[in-house]
Amino acid sequence: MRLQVTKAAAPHAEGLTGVAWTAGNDVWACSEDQALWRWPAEGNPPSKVCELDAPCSSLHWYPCASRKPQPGATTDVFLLAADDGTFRLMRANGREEKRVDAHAGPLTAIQWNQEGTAVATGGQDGALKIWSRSGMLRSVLAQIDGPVLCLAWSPDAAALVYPRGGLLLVAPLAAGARPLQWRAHDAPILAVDWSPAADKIASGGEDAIYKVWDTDGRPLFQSAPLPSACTALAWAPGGCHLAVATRGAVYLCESSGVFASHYSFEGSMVRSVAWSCDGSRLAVGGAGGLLAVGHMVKRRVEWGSHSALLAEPARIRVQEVGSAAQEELEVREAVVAMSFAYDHLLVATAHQVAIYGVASWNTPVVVEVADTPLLLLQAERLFLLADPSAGVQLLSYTGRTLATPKWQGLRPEALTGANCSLSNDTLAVVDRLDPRCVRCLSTATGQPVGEPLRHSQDVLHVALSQGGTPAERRLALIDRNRDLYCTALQSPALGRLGAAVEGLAWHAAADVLLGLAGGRVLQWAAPGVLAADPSLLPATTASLDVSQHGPRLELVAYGEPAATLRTPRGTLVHVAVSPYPLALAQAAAAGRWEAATRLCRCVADDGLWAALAARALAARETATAEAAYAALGQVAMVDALAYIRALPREEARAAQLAVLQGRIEEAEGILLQAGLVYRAIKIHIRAKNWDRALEVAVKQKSHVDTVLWYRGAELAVTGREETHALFLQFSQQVEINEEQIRLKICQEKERESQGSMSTAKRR
Amino acid sequence: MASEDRGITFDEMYRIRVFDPDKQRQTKELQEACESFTSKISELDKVVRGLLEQIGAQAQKIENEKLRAMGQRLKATMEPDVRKRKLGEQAAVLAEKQQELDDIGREYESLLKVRHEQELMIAKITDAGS
Repeated sequence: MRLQVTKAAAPHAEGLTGVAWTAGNDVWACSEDQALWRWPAEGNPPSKVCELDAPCSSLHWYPCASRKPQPGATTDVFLLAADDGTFRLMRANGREEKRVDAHAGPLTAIQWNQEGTAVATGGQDGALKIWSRSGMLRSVLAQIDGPVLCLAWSPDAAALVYPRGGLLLVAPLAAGARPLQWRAHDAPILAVDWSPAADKIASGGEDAIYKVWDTDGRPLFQSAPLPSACTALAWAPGGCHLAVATRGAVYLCESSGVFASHYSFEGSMVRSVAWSCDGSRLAVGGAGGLLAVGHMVKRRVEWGSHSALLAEPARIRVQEVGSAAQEELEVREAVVAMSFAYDHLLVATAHQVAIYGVASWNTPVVVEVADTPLLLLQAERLFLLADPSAGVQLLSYTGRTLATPKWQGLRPEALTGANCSLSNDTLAVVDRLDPRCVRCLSTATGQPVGEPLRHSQDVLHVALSQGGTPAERRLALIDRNRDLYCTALQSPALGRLGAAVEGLAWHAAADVLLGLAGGRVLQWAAPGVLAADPSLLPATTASLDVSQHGPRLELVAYGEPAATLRTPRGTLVHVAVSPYPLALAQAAAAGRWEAATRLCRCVADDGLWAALAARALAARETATAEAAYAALGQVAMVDALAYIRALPREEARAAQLAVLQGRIEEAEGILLQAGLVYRAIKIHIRAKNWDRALEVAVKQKSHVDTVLWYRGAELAVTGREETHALFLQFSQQVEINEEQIRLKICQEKERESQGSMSTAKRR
Repeated sequence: MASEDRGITFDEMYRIRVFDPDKQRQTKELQEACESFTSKISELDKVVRGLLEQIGAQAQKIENEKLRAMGQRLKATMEPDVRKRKLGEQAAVLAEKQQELDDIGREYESLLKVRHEQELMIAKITDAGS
């Protein structure tokens, strides 16, 4: 990761105080000589938009290009902070829409909130004020004894972070709430930024150190001293990079804060940095008319044995490991996003997406897009493309649009690889307005599938399984407590697989889940184990120590032979995980239970046997499950399965399996539908669920006496009196004849076996 | 005498002369001397002017050299700082490259380990199979 810098032909001798990007990728800058400059995306030299009547210190464009503030209103407006104590709402043509007298002295900082509904300003006079979009004063949030040099909104616009000397304060907007404050630097803080995507705060001060904090003020990272004070810093929109400016250089850092590379501007003071909406470019403004744009190059994406490196802004080098062949791909404009998975490399520029297949590098499919793509997500047969104006689109690799899903609260720029997951048939998205809710949409129609999945906690990360049929699709999620939950989408029931999980990844082709927790890689060989037999969960979870690679690892991908982890430095490390669960999952998915059993015999590992038991049980493969439980030495389960296998009727077997897995209601449903009333009642009697047994018997108008007889026997054994009103009532109404009951039960059993014979004959 | 008094004389050619021939000769000599003097003076003037010009040019050159020397001296005094900065920058670049190398090395090592483990597994499977 490196910056390749293009400098603008110096438009003016005066210094630039603020830079900003428009949604159309133009760079705007305000200068000390009271002028406003525009540097178009096409690369023409910067031109003066208009002269102003006062010097300006910073400018900020309307943040959400995808959301119109009011019907009919345009989004091409920006804020300008002037030294005469006013801020102005400006149009793209340089026309002043509104001027607000805000502070007693010059304005030092100005920012829209994420939603574009409010404006925060800070002044030399030490006041921090909140304004409505139309420029009405909402509140004076703080009044400090020095100038407010910088400020940043929280992602939910409920708080602001600003410095007071070396202190950082997070001030909630709610009236009466006390601000959170902590000593961040030993010298005055000059720059602060809050990343909406990563939810982290970065600060830089005169002590030439930059630090990264979590939102509660806990330190996450502290840099080594830089050559000079940090004058500006900015998080990239996706939260995966941080740019820090000092006198004479810009430093590019990983999301952890660790320094990655730097670019020197030969001693000229950098005053302002800003990322483009897609996070692929960085605008730099500074003293001596310094105006430059840095492209992020040397980014690498990998798939299998292929690796694609962005060598130059519009040139990609593709290499295949083990072969000397090297492909040079060239696109017309600078690349803003790349994604490589399922044998397809997607390269997005501001106006198009090129789809390259690994077999045909020379003939890409090119799709024109209306706006700069912000996110690319891939599944085996289709990919997702999010851009601010068209929203979310699902396209096939031939470039055909399959669906354009829409949902309430959709905001393309808020989508990330964590809160959104794509599989061949389903798209899962964490609801932006209610983060406890996960929406599932069909990729074929773009319509919601079933009810949104509700969880008790905010969901941070969702992931859909990739392999298998739509019926086997599973969703895994990590919530705010860092608990990992998993469910099948067919019958949503969240079950907790693990705790303190930091990251997760599904295998690209099989139903096996990988997680990262406390320096260990966890492998769930059968993620459906909770629905099948929760007692097998510990056995099916394999764990691998990866702490030798250092703390704070990130799980990137789960490829064929190995898991890929990223260190805070950005280094990729590969860790071999057991391949057997994959082979087992693939055999099970194909219904080759013989092969799966052979594999387990060959490997002779309890974890694998447990995974086989769970998978076989879920697929109602009683014979395989019995063998697996036998290998595990679980005699009770072997017995139960043998009993089930000996049952004459299919429905009875299914029902007993359901009972074995604790799903009594389902079992009752199956039995009643098949007309096996006695068996249904017997299930409840066995479970001592007398109320339900009687209810079913009464409803089916048979075996009421049987229930009463069993109840009587039970009471006799425990030596108690009948007190239940319903039972007392029925015992008066119904005559209990033991012999008759036994006869009836015998008849039922006989009918059952005959029924199975007749169904067998019919077959 | 009278003519002498009036100053009218005759020269050798017997032409009437108002001026005394002797004086006339002297005047002529004076005139010539004056002419040669003025020409000499103007020559001197030219020479002096040339000299001045040359001196001016030299002065300019010297002035330039002086400025350059000052610049050089300034540069020389600044040089340690510049060198230090450049050194720092180069060190930073070096550190970055080294870091990149380390990263790649670490990734390579992890891949080697993966390969080793896979080879072990293949060996195990072939053993079990045979």
